[in-house]
Amino acid sequence: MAKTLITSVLVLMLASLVWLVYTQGLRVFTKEQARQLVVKQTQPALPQVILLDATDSTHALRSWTMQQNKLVIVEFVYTRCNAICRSLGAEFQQLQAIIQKKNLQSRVGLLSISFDPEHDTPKVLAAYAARLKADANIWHFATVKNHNQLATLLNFFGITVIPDELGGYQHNAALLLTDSQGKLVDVADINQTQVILDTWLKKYASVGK
Amino acid sequence: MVKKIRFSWQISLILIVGLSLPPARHFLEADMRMHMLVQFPLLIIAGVWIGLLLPNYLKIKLSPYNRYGITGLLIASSVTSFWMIPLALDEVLVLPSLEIAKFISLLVAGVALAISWRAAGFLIQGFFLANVLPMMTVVGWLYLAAPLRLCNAYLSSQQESTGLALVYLSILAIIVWLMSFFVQGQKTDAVEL
Repeated sequence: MAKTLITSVLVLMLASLVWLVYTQGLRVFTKEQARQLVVKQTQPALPQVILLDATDSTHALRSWTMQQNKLVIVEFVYTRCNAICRSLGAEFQQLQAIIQKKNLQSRVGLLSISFDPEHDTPKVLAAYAARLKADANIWHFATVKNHNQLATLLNFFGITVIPDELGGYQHNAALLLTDSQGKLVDVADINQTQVILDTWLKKYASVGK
Repeated sequence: MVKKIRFSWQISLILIVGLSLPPARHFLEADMRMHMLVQFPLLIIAGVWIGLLLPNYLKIKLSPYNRYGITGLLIASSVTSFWMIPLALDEVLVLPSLEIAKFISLLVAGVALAISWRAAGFLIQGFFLANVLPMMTVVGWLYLAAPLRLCNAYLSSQQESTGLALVYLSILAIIVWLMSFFVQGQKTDAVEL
């Protein structure tokens, strides 16, 4: 019985160790959480993927966020979406309203990037922006210029897009924060918009001032 | 007898090799339900098969370390609980090393179950099931009730139906196990080694 006891304890210890290491101390249970932690720790530089915006002009992503010299909150959408991007759209509308109300235009910007360049041409993006009543000083819309750079972009931001049964897509939604140095510095779940904006403004108080 | 054993080994081997072929893996892993509710159980069954065919001398050698099947059932429950973590389910699709670990660990869990189940007797079986099945119910309920997708690689509809199936399966398993106890009466209570 002693041998069984020892082996059992060893098995339990090994299992607990694997659990603790794999979930990084019971903090990470989903890929989304894992991604958030990695971003916070490494703050990777944005890739220079060429984007095409709603006014038909092109920008390299990192340079673009650096030129704006403010915090830019990025989201990924496709304009035909009527599930999660709708709530993302609503989140961004709320953020825009707060930015306007508190006069934060010089400190925070918004960027919606479509992962459906096939359909979401600049024209479509412009119509989408109009539908959401986007303020052009705050909120930009873009997609990739070269379709073959899409994978790089999605991979960098940790966005997984999978086709659903209805001819649309499902994708993970998050608010992605980039700073004026062209780095991705934080990832937040949607539905905590106000809190997270305050937190970010405090944490990056010097940006855009 | 020797012939029969060889034949059975071959079936188990064919099952394992078949499951590990890329087309079979891609097919089963493309859908969360197939991944968790078909591929996982098939791997465990392949392991159980190996366990049942394990030569007696090996079983005897192992038995001092596995009195009442305690160690084996611990291994089985540790392995199955790990593969219910959404992160693991997602990462296994992109990390070959984790995929290999999944195959091996689920096979080992099957082997462990096979050589431990009868030795465990009703009480320890009950303890094992009282750990694993409620965990399945809870994970299933989490998958079902989560407002967001927990696995980036799977559709929310698949997550919901996987969750629902886990809840149903765990409840069904509890009922079947209790019924088997009543059918067999006290016989299973005797510990066999």
